[in-house]
Amino acid sequence: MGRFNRFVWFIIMIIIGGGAGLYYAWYVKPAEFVDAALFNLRSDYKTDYVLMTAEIYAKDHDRLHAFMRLDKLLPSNSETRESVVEDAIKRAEGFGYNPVDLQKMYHLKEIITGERTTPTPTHDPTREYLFEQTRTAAAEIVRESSTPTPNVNGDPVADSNPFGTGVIITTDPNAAPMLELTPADDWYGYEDPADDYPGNNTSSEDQVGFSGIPEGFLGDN
Amino acid sequence: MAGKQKKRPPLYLLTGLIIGAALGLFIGYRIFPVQFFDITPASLHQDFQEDYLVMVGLAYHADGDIGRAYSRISEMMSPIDIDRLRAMSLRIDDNPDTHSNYEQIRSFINDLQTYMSDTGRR
Repeated sequence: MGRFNRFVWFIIMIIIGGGAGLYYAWYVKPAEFVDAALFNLRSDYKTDYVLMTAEIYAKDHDRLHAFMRLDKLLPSNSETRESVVEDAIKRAEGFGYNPVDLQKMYHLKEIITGERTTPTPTHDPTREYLFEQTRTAAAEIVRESSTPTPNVNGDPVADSNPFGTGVIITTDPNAAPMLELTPADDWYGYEDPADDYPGNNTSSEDQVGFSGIPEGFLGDN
Repeated sequence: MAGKQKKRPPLYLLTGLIIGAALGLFIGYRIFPVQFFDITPASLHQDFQEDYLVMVGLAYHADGDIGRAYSRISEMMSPIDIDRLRAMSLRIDDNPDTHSNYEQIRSFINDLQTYMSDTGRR
């Protein structure tokens, strides 16, 4: 009986020692991965990697290289590019990524799945603000041009360009003058309804300003 | 003549504990090691760190955000070693898969160095 007891206690101590060893190896000092691959990245780094892929694609529209970059995150055949991007989008929304970044990630998902998931922007307050600014600035230029600018001696100066500098006018007096405007920032997802751009094959009568000022707007005085 | 037998310490208990601990460590490190624990870009293989550098550089040229690029590179090496980044960029240049990105990466590293000296970051 004594021998049997010793044997039982021996086994129990092995189990206790094994538990202690596993606890140490799994929790206290787990094996740190070195020389790991991209698919071993922690989930937040994977999310950022997908965001970088989306940012690069948003600029170069190179679908092939975007797919190649996403493939590096696939550890096995069980995952797909779509699942990787979907998981990244969910985590990004959970992490509170800003809407511009999320938009790019959704756009990346669209090119993978072929399905449109990004909401179509129906109201862009930025564009309306710039339109108002531009219209106000244009009206100011028209009002100023009606008053001849006196020179130092007080004599009015005849100016062949009534709109002064910084404004381009067409040679056709009947056409609406075009304002040379600073293009707005790249509004991601904004679809410019203005089909006619300077330099395209359009007649001078159809030309409109870059921000889409209606034709003849400035010539309606 | 008969004397008390010396009581032997229960060495078998200690032996069992040591054998068990060795088994536990062997299983925990070799057979079933922890997977995907705290994998940061700093733990990536050198080749994948170069891929990561290419990604950060191209993303910087896409959005122009040097601060964000600095944060991303910091996850790969801290403090940032510009010389080491330049050495990586030379390997990027030698690699036929990433050779076309070399100029952009070189430009990014220059901008990063300027950003770090302007802001006093390391």
